[in-house]
Amino acid sequence: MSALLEVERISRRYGGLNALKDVSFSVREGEIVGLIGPNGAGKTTCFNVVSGAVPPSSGAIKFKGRNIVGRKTSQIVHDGLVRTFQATTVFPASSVIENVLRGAFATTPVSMFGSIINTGASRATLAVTRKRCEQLLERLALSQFRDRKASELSYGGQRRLGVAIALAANPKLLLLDEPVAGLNPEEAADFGRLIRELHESEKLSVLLVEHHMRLVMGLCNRIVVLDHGEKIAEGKPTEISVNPKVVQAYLGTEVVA
Amino acid sequence: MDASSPTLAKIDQPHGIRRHGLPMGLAIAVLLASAIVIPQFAANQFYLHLANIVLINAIFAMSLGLIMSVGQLSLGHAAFVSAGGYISALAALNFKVPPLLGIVLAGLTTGLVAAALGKVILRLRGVYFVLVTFLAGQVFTLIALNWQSVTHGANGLIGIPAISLFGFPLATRLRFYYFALAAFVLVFTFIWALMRSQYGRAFGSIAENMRLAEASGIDVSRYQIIAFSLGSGIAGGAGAIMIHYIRFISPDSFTFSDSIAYITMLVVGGRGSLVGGALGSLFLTPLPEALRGLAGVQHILYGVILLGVLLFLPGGLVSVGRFFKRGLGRQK
Repeated sequence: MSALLEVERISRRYGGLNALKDVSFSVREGEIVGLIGPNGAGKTTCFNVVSGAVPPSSGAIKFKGRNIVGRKTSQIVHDGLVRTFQATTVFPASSVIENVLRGAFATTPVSMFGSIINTGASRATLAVTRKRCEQLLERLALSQFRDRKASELSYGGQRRLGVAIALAANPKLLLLDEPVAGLNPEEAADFGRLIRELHESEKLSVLLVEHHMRLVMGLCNRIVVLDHGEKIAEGKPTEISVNPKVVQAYLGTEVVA
Repeated sequence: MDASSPTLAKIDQPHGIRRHGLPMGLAIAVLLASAIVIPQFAANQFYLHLANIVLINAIFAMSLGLIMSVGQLSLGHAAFVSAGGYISALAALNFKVPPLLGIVLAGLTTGLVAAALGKVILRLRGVYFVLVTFLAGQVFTLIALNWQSVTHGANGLIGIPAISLFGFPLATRLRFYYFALAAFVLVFTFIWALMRSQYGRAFGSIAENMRLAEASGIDVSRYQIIAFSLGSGIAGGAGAIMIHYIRFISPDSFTFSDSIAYITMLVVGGRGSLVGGALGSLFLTPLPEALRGLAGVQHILYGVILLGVLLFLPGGLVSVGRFFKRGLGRQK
């Protein structure tokens, strides 16, 4: 399997603070990789750099063998690298179906001009997209809310909608930023199953930042551990949970789970 | 614009018209027919003049609404109106360019200038963008005032020709009325179609959640520039139409207070919808005239009415139907 995402020695400095220092890792096609570390380890910075929201101070990021540093987030999305957010995940004042249609914006091959005069071709294309979006809603158990405002959904519903929006962009690699933060254990377990399903059916690769250890250990093929902006370990879940450096970084608290 | 307010794109969603079906189509037809027929009977010059100003002001407000639909508020809208006016006036006076061509030229030039300016200033968000557009507007007024050799400074430009269609000058208020009505319908239809298209979807996404829009593959800066450029270009073209009607332009013709007036029209009419801009102009343009008989309290009443609308109809005049429905429901 070839590497889909290659992160090579990226660093990110904020003034005097080294939020990331020479971090390298890769995500191969069809793999679920976890990115973990204690609070302030640089996970979110790493995430923002990889998704193009923040440029790295140095280092290279390649997606499908092509350098993506310096490209706009919207262009990276067109290539198939899509992220979700920790908190602001939806368009609150719009209907649930409209939310997903917006997520599908990049993958709706409609001519913009054609959509103004509403040509038959553009209507047909949009109908196809709409159908795909309806299926996504079905899949994420959101169909019954399709015409509700996104802000009226429960917290868990909004998280699922956030994933539906990301999936609508047809990602090859999905970056999930703490998808189960704030969910109850049952919802978190459901979410884990959902990610596994998507991974299997869509051949979706996933890079997952998460605090929920049970989810990470159960889901990931490989785990990358950050601490103080540096990579301190990488390996299979079973290796990571007994790695003395990792145990030390976490003060032996969370790995017990 | 905050996230919870409805956006243009939101209200004019695809299938909006189709869902309402016949009644909506019928209402539009009746409105248009009466707009065409009534002036033939009511030949009062004063009302005709007001109607003309209402139509052009509505275009100004709707074009500003287009810019607001990507979540950016421009305080320099009148500068683009004025620039369009000056371009067409100078072209007509110095180079004998026919006004109709001048209007197109004015729209294209202001649109292009807005695109170039937008590329730089649309990086600013929120209040910073508002401030820069305010400054850009002030700078434009100063240029118009001080570039004596071209603009004739504070004296302004006089003797601007009227629009003529196929050698038929639109020099009377009635003739101009039909031209203004056509321009209004054209702009209304264009913005409506734009908002229901993928552009509208992009605009609405940006206004509601910019980060998520970018993460959904929507190029935020590109669509903000498009909206800013189209809105400003329409304003420039309509500004040119206005000065070929008034036949005079000076730096005082369109100033900061006009920019504020367009914003007020949008807010009072309903900033979330295209009809809002038109309603706001229809309500606010004649209001000072209606209050003219009450010399002394005229300005106070104007303010009270504005406050009343904002207090009781925060969604603007377009939400008046909803307001009454709610009121009736409470009585039962």
